[in-house]
Amino acid sequence: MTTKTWRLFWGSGPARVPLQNGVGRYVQQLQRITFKFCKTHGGSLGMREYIEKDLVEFARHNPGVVVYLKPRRHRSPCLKAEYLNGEDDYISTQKHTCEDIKKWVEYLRCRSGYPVEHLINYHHTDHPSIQGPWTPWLHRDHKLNVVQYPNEELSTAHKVKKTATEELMELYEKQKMLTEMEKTS
Amino acid sequence: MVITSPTLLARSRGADKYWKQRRILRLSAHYYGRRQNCYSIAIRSVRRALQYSTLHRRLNKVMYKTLWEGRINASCQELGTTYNDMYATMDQAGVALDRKILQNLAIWEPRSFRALALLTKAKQEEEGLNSLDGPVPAGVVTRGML
Repeated sequence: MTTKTWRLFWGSGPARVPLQNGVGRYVQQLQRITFKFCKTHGGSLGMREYIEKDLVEFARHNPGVVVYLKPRRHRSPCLKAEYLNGEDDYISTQKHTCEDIKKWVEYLRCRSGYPVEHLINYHHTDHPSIQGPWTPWLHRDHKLNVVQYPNEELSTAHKVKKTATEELMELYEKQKMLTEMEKTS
Repeated sequence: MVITSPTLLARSRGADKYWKQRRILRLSAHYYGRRQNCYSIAIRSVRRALQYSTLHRRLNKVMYKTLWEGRINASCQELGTTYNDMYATMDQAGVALDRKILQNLAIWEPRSFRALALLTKAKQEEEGLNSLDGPVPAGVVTRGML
């Protein structure tokens, strides 16, 4: 999918944390996770391995998450996660290995329940400027604030290049110096 | 008795057209008029859009570079230098900031940017940039003519 279509469909926004979670206390947003699998079919092999090896550890490490197991015959394995804001997420784990499922569970555990959006930038601040943003008067002389107008100095034309008169004067003086040096030597 | 001849009449006619067209129409969902819904019209626009997106990945970088350079140049000129002088002297001064950060500083942290600009101005006088007074660069033979 092109980026524009993706953004229009899924939405786009800056990196942000909902409700300032983690600024004070971090509250895990995952409410319950359901492991649906078949007890005999080959596609659920990875899921069954995960349940045997790593599930109890997961449940112990996350006491706030309710874990459900749904053994269903002739159904492909999947993970269903529900979050505190009411949103849910579904991941099919058909033919996945135990390692894959471990990674997907970790992904679901760390998510907030908010829908996945395209990141506009990887950073977000409420205070982008410490010194204050640039203004046209920032680098100008403060005396301009107390000047009495009309002011002769400020009304003169800005000098950009050397004028022809100035160049001729310089040439004249250079020539003068050369002739003096010749005379002395 | 097993009749085997009907199986010989079966032919593989190709992939399912509906899903092939869906793949294209999914990308044209935000287009105007018939280009979003009619496949034979949409395919032309979508092909062009995909070509543009591949070609313009390089252009994107060029576009941002020129934008940032323009912004830094504007801030430099306010402070009495130019972008070329400042960027060349930053290298000699040992300040390794890129264009993205510099333009951010110029907008949001202007006093820091002014400090950097003044630093480069002092450094370029020392190094003899834009003048014949400074130290002669290595490998240049003047024989006292300059």
